[in-house]
Amino acid sequence: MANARLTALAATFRREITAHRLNRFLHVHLAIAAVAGLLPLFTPAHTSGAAPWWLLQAVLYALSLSALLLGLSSAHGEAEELALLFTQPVQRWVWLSGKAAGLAALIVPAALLLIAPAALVGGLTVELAGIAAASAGLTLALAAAGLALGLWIRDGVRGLLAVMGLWFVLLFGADLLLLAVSGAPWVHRYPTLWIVPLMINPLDALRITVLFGFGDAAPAALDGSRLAGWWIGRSQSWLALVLVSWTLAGFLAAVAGSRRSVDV
Amino acid sequence: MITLQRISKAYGSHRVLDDLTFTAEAGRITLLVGANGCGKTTTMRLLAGLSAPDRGRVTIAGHDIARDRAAALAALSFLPQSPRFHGALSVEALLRFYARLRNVPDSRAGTLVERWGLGRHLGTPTGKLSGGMRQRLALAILLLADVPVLLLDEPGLSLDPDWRGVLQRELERAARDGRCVFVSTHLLGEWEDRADRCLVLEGGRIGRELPPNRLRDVFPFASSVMRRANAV
Repeated sequence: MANARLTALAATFRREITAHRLNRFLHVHLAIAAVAGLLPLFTPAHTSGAAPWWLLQAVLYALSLSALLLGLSSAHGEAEELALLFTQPVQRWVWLSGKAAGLAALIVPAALLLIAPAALVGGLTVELAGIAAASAGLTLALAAAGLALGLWIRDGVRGLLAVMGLWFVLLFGADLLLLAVSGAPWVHRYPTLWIVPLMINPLDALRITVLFGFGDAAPAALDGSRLAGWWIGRSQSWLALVLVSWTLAGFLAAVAGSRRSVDV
Repeated sequence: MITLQRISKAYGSHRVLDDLTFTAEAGRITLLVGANGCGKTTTMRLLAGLSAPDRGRVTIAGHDIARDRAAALAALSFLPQSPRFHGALSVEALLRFYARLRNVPDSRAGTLVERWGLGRHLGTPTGKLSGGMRQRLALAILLLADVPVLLLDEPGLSLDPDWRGVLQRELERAARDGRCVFVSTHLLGEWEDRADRCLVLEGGRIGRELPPNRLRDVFPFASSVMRRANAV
């Protein structure tokens, strides 16, 4: 049984890699990573030091979206074949594990493209390695979210709208909402309720980690809330925890989505 | 052998299958026919494990599909209606993938490639195949594994008469080898004298069973279409 699972997992992994050779979303994702990697060269005097700030923008505003779309396209690529795939003697979580592993094998190395130019010019620093790891983790987590959305919402247009909606919420929506309620008395009474949504949003967690963790830019005033101080003090570990949680949640949601009824 | 026992299935308030019970034996070709919307596709979905009944029991080669899903799926091979594939994958990549899932050697896939005339299209992405070629690829995948139960939903659609003939001969051979061949179809005339049984789905259950040598007479519309086709 274990052998059969391993064989199925390996076959699905290979299939995922092969299927993405012609995937435009992957090509765009890799192109963005390669071009964004050149951004730190615009500040030649501080290539290594400035790289995290440049790369943060690229990850937040471009790679996050392309990772979501890549996950969605990975799910929708199979949509018409599900009736055949799901009548094979392979458990759906095994099939999805192979698929997720293939997606990870494609998306994680893109983070190396992101830091390669800065590392070549200014040398590999801890900050650069950190931003590469954070970028790899974030794009993997968002690809898992895209995969889950694609398996739940199998219509192409609706899936695209859902992905765009999620991206806007993560990038702007949640922050705008928090900003809107920031003056409310209950927020001042219970600041934790205001901070937790920021902490569990992977894009905000990345922002905080790069701004305060790598850059040591945290003003002392932020220590006014004990939770905020705790978070900033452990931002890198917290980011890792958030990204692992999002990846696992995305995978489990994708497994649940794959159990939905299939049209034939 | 496949067995459905007292199966009921409804979509919202619309009851599609109502106490459906039948058995399709090994070594025989059994047809499932009926008017549009009578529940043929729902029945195929239940048999293939793509959907669960509201009530009742489905067994495939003795395995209850609800309790022993893996064994039931290992015992069947399914051809969906109008099959489609990941458009970026080539014919060869797909056949290899399904051969791996079924633990079948590549040589078996090679035999089926020749039998279904896919040899010149091995490197073609399936998104560029015609409907007939896709159907032949799906039939090659269907026949990859040596399983006791073959389920086919409208297998003749998209195939030209020559390939429909090949399909029928393949299925007759599978039945002779002791496999249970269960086919949902509208092309009744073509199955006359080739099928062993013909079950008619009416009102959510098997309303009657037709003599397989009189399908054209029992379904005059299909018969007139066949006569016109033959005249042309």
